[in-house]
Amino acid sequence: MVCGLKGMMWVGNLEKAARKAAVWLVNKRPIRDIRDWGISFSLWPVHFTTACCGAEFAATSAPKYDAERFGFLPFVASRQCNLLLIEGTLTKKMAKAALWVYEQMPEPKFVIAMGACAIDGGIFWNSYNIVRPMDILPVSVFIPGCPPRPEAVAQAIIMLQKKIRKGELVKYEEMEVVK
Amino acid sequence: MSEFVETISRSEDGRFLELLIGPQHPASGHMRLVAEVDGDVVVSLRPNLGYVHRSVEKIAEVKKFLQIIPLVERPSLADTTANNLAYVLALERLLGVEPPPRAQYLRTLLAEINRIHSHFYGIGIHGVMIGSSTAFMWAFGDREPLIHLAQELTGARITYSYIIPGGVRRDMPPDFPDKVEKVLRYIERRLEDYDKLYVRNPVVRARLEGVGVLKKEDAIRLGITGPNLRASGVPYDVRKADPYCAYPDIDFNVITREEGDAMARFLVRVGEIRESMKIIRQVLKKMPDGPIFAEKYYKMLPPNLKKYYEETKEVKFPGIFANLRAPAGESVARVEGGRGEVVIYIVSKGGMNPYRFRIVTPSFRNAVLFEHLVRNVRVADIPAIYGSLDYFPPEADR
Amino acid sequence: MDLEEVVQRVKDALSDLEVEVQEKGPNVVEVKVNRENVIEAARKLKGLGFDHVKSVTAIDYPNERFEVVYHASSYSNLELARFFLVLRVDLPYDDPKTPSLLEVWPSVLYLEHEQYDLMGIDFEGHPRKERLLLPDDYEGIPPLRKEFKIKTEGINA
Ligand code: SF4
Repeated sequence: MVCGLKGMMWVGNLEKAARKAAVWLVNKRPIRDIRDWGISFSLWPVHFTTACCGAEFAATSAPKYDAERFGFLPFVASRQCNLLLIEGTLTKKMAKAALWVYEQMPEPKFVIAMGACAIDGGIFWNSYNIVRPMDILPVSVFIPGCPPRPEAVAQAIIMLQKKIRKGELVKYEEMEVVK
Repeated sequence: MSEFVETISRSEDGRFLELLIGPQHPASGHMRLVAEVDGDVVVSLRPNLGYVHRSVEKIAEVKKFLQIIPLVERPSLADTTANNLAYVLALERLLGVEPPPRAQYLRTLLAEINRIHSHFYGIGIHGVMIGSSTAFMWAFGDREPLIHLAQELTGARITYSYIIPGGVRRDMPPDFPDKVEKVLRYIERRLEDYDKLYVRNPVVRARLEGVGVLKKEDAIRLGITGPNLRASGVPYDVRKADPYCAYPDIDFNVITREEGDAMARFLVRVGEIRESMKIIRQVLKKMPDGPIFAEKYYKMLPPNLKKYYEETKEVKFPGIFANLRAPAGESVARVEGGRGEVVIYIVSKGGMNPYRFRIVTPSFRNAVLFEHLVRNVRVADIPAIYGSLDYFPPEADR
Repeated sequence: MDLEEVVQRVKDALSDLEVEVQEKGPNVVEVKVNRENVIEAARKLKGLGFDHVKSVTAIDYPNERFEVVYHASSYSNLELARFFLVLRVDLPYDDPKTPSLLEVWPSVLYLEHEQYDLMGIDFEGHPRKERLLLPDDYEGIPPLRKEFKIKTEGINA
């Protein structure tokens, strides 16, 4: 690609170079820290209820536990969300939907698995119709309990935030840039 | 053949469009709705169930009788007492045990507390669906005091497993009635606010009145249950029709409305919250003294557990109860939960597990309403109708 | 209305069909009917006021028979609402077919469909023959049958 700018001549793949520069920049301290700090306080879980833990998840976003104070607000469209919270059992039929939702979410994205069912099936461990979320999704935080109390969900959010701030989860180098 | 069972007909000229709603959608239901739309009008709609089918009935066949108590609660997490109670009633009929009166009253107490918070849950989700976050925030906020009460009584937030064969797990704490009274007064005050926010709000009325009208004949024909049935003018309530626990001694009304629309379903729920408060007050006033656990099982407890029970009024089953055997036979029980009638049918062959376990939940019976009501309405009415049904997919799919 | 009266009424209504009427428990009336007569019996029972079905259960007795159990009751007659009417149909094991009661009781639409899906009972005349609760691509033995085994824990009898 060649482009002229005020009489100067730039040669090379400008777009690629710019992207490289950007990646270098956001991975450089202190920008990286600011980036991770920012991400950790803007978690948008997608409105995707998979099973009965959804009742306690709803209570987490409700007034008494108020998850919004952690910068955590459920949102409707998966395209604008960065957190997938598996709320309980993932049935075979739902697992397909979960994968579609996960694929639609933009990077960086995180997964929290809520409930005993999302760890190893819980009370439904021998059901013929369930899938273990960790087999299909990269889960960052598990919340034990059946159902976990809203406090536990809040703790999981804080754990995820800490993990993000430690820079363990967001890696821009590996990200594939979609044109 | 009734007309609603027609399969979706694809139009040849491509005039109709198939619209898939869910399973990931703003209303957070774990189900998909397959609608066929002509412009903005829904021609027909089919719910696609099974997204939360976890095979409770199959698992119950390999679980022991006591282990099934937590299992049946899981499908309807916001209304666990109804399932718990229905299962224990069916089991007690099989075993031939009768709980003492105090246990009956405690069961009623928990069932009503649970009914109120389940109705608030329904109102809140309805609010989300018609785009009123305030209603969600209010209803879910007002659920919490009741959950707190239930927690004082049982020790768990929503999965109580409180009702056990022969009685209940623990007695109520001594200062419980005062706390209940406080909460009830708060809820009473709040219901007035709901009146202002919801019932007399022109926007809400415009969205709900005359939407999704269910006629009385259709409600009966389709076997609809719960508040959805009573909103169509059928005064059927299991608590009156086939009274169980303490309900025969209690004075309360069955709330019905004639309109059968989404607003009526909402108002029936609000009315039932008021009735439940009445029931709770009476239950606390009439609460008899005495044991909370059937004599037959009390005798079987080893001395240390007997002592524990006398001291703390908490029942702990000894290990041998895990091997509870029910005599061969079958029994069926029904209970009026928050969302409607729960029917549990147990077939036993005399072993440690049921031979066949059947649970029919209200949501499953109401699922047919989607295809019945959502026809020739605008797409924007789908959430208004969906929300008004208080449909909970895990409960329907089991 | 007490149980005996209900039993008597059911007996009278079904007198010209080959059925067995029994009382079971305090509020349960049981009617055993073979599958040729089931629609006729259901129609007559509906005439008595049993206007909806609460539950349809198929029970599997391996290599012996299937049994389909309908629990019906009434909404329009609140005196009758206290009773369960249990309609039982026996089916041979190698031919689990029975006429669908949809035309009599529209409330069985989902209930029968579920038993078709999970137990593999063929309700003749039922318009829906696709999966309801199981995934659409499910193949194999219907899961509620006894020959479909799931894992169990510990020492389980
Ligand atoms: S962990 Fe418990 S509450 Fe959560 S989905 Fe599983 S069964 Fe339901």
